Amino acid sequence: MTTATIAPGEPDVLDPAPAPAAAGVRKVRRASHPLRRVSFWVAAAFIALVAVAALWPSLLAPQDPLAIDLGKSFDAPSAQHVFGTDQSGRDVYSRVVHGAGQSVLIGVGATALGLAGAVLLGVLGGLGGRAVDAVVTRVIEVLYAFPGILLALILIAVFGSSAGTQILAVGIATIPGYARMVRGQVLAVRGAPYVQAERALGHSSAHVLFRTLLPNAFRPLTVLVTLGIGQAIVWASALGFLGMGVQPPAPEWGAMLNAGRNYLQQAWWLDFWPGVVIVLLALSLTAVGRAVQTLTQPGGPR
Amino acid sequence: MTTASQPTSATSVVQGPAPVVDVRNLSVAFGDRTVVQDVSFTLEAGRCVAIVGESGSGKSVTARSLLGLNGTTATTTASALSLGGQDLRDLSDGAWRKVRGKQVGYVLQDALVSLDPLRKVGASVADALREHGVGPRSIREQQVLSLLSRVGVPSPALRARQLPSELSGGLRQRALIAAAIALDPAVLIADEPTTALDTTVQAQILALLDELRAGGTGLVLISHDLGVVEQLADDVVVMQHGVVVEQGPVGAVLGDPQHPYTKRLLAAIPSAHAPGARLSDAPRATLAPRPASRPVPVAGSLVLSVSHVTKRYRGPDRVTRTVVDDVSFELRAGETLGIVGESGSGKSTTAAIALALTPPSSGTVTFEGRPWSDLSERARRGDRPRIATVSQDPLSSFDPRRTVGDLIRSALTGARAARKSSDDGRSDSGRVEDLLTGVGLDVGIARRHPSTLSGGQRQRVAIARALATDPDVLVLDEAVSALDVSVQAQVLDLLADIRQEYGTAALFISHDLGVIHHVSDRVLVLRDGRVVEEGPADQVFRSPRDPYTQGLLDAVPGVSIHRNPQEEP
Repeated sequence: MTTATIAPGEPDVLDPAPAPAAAGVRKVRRASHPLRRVSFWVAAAFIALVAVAALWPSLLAPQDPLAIDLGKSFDAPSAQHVFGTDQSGRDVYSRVVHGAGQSVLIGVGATALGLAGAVLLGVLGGLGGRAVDAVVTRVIEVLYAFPGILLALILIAVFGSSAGTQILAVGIATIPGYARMVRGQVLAVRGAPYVQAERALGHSSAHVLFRTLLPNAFRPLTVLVTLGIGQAIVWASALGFLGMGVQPPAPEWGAMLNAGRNYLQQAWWLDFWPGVVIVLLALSLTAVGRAVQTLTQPGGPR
Repeated sequence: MTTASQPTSATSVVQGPAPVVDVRNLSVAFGDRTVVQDVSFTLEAGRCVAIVGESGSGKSVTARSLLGLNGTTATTTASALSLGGQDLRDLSDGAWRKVRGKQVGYVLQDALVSLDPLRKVGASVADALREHGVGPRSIREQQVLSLLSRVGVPSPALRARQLPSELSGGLRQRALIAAAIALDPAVLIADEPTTALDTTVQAQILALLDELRAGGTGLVLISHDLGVVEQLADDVVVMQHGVVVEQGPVGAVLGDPQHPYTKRLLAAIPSAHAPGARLSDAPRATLAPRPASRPVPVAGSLVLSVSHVTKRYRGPDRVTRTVVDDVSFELRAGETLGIVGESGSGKSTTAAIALALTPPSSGTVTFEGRPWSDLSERARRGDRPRIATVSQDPLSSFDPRRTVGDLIRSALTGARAARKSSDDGRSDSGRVEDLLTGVGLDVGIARRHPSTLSGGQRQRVAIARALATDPDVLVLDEAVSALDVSVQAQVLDLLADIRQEYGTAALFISHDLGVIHHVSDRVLVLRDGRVVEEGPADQVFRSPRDPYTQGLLDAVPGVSIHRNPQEEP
C-alpha cells in the first residue's frame, strides 16, 4: 500500500517529520486492532460457551443426554427439542452440549501431550549437540512418516477404545510437527545476538536458558497451540467417527456423526448439529489464535 | 510553505540547452500527510544534482516522483514535472513504462535486494532491453555483454551467467548500473548508490557514475553522505522534513552553508573536525558517578591483551578459511583503540574473540594480565560485566520480549549475579532512571518496547545497558554505522562524554575512517584478517605507511570539506 513495496530504498515515506523527542513511533495501519474486531469477540464468546458446556453441561442442557424416549425418535427440531431427537428419542441438543466435555478433553489433552513430547525432543535436539540432534531429527522423521490412523489402530488394539486412547493417538501424531518447530526455534534463538548479549552481560547459563532462550523459542508456540487444539478436536472427532473412540451411546461429537450417518436422509439434524459445532469451534480457535499471534508480536499489534 | 533560504526555484537561470529535468513546486502527499512540499530544481545534460537529507527528509520520494513509482496512495502535484521536455504529470501506467528505463534509469541502494536472486545477472540487465523491444535475443545478449564491460565488470561473459549472490557488492552495483543505462537514458537517478559498499569499492562506483555524467547523462544523486555529494555533484538540494531548506551550487552550499540544518549536517561529519571535537549541539551527558567500590583501572595500565590470535572456520564446502590471522594488540585503561577495515577483514570476529564469545583457534586473550579466552565460561563469569558491548544493530541484541526498563534491569541483575555481590545500596529502578537520563533519554522510555524507538534512541538504550554493569572496557562494533549523520554525531559525543566521565577503555570497530580517526587514540588497520598497520591515530591517518591504508584513505570521498584547524579537541 505504500511505495515501500515498489522500491526498497529508505523508509522515507513512513516518517516525514520525526519529532525530535518522540521520534520513531511510525505506525502504518495495516489492519484494525484485533481486539476491536467483531469476529474476534464472536469467536471468543463461542469458545467460552463451549468451555461452559465442557465444565458444567447441565447448566446449558438440564435434560439427560442418555434418556431414551422411543416414542419420540427422529423428531425434527422443535421448541421442545431445539436440535431434534435421534433414533432412540434422545435429545440431540443435550447430547451436543454434554459431548463438549469429551471433545475438549481430547483436544486439550492431545495437544498437551503433543507439546510435552515436542518440547522434550525439540529442546534436546536444539541444545544437545550434534550427535543428539541427529538422533532427534531421525525420530521426528520416523514419527512424521508413520501413518496416524495406523498408530491409532495399534493403540486401540493394545489399550481398547477410550478417550485416553484417543488422546494418546492424536497426541503422538502431533508431536513431530511441534517438535520440528521447537527444534528450529531453539537453534535460531540460541544463535541470536540477544542471547550472546545476555551471556556477555554475565548472566548464568541457566538464567540465559530459562529466562531468555526458551521463552523466546516457545513464543510462536502459543499461537500454534490455539490453532492446534481445534485441529486435535477435529482429528479426535474423526477417530470417533471411525468408531475408535468413546463408544455409543456416550455423547461424543465424532461418535454422534457416525451414528447419525445411517439416517442422514430422513433426519439431517443428527449429523448437522455436531458437525456445525465442530466446524465453529475449530474456526473460533483459529480466529482467536490469529488474534493472539498479532497481540504477542514484539512491540504489540501493529 | 518553504523555508528555502536561497529561493532559486521559480527563477532558476537556464543557460544553454533546455534542462533534461525540470521540477517546479513538486508536492507529494500520502493520504493527508505531506511528505514532499514545494520542491523545485532543474538538471542539465552532463551535470549532477544531489538531493541530500536524512531518513524521512523526502529525498527518495522526490526522486521516485520522476519515475512515477510513489504508488497509488500518493498524491503528486507540481507546476512543472518534465523529463527531456516530456510532461510527466498525468501519465498513464503504459506511458510511464515507456519513460522508465528509456528516458530515465534508476539505480537503487542495495543491489542484493534490487536484483532478482533467482535470475542470472545477464537476464536482469537484459530486462530493460526486452521491455523496450530491443531484439532479437542474440542482439540483446551482445548488448548485455558490452554494457557489463562498459561499467567495468571483468569477464562479463562469465558474470552474466552467474546469480547475484555469486557477485560481490561492488560488482552487483555495477550490474545494476548497467541495467539502468541499458537504453542510454538521458537521466540516471541513483538512490544511495554506494551506501552499502566499502570505501574503496565506493570510490570505483563514484568514478563510474562520474564517467557517465561526463558522457552527457544527467545524474540525480540521492545521498546522505556529504562527502559523496561534494565529489560528484554540481548542484545540491538540501531537504529536511520534506521541504528544501537550501539549494545551489555544491561549492557554495557546502562551503558557505546558510541554513542551520545544512550547517548542522556539515558539523556532524567527524572528518570535518579535529579529532575529539564535539560534533553536535547536544548538551553534555549527565552521567551518574560510578560507585567508589568499583573504580576504573589506573589510566595506562594494561586491560585487554590479545596476542597472536587466529580464527579459522570450516565452511559448508569443507574449505577452511582463516578469518583472523595472527592478530595482536593491547588495550590500556582509558584508551580508545580503533579497528578499521573493510567488510570481511575480520573486525567483528576480532571483537567476538575479545569478548570471549568466540574461542580463538590459536593465540590467547588476557584481561588485566589474567587468562580470559582460555577460561571456562563459569570462571569467566565474574569478570563478564567488566567488558560490555554495543553492536551495530541494537534491536537484534535485545530480547524481543522485554521493554527498555526490563532490558536494563536484566543487565543489572546479571552483573550482580556474576559478581556475587549485592549492589551498593542503589535501587534498580533508580539506576535505570539514572542510566536513561545519562544517555540523554526520557525516563518514560523504560516502559516502551525497543521496536517502537528510533535508531538513535535504540543505540542510546544499548549504551545505557552497556553502562549498567559499570564496565572497564566497551567493545563498540560498528556502533554508529547505521545512524544518520546528525544522530551519529550525538552518539559519538555521548561516547566521548562517557569516556571522559568514567575513563572507560574502548575497542571501537568501524569501516568508517572518519569516525575511527575522530574517536581513536591508536588505530589498527585490518585486511583479510591480518594487521597491516598499527600506530597512533594521527600518525596512521596523516602518514600511512602501508599501501593498503594509503589506498583506503585516498578512497574516502570529499576529504576537502572545510576542516577547521583552530578547533581544539
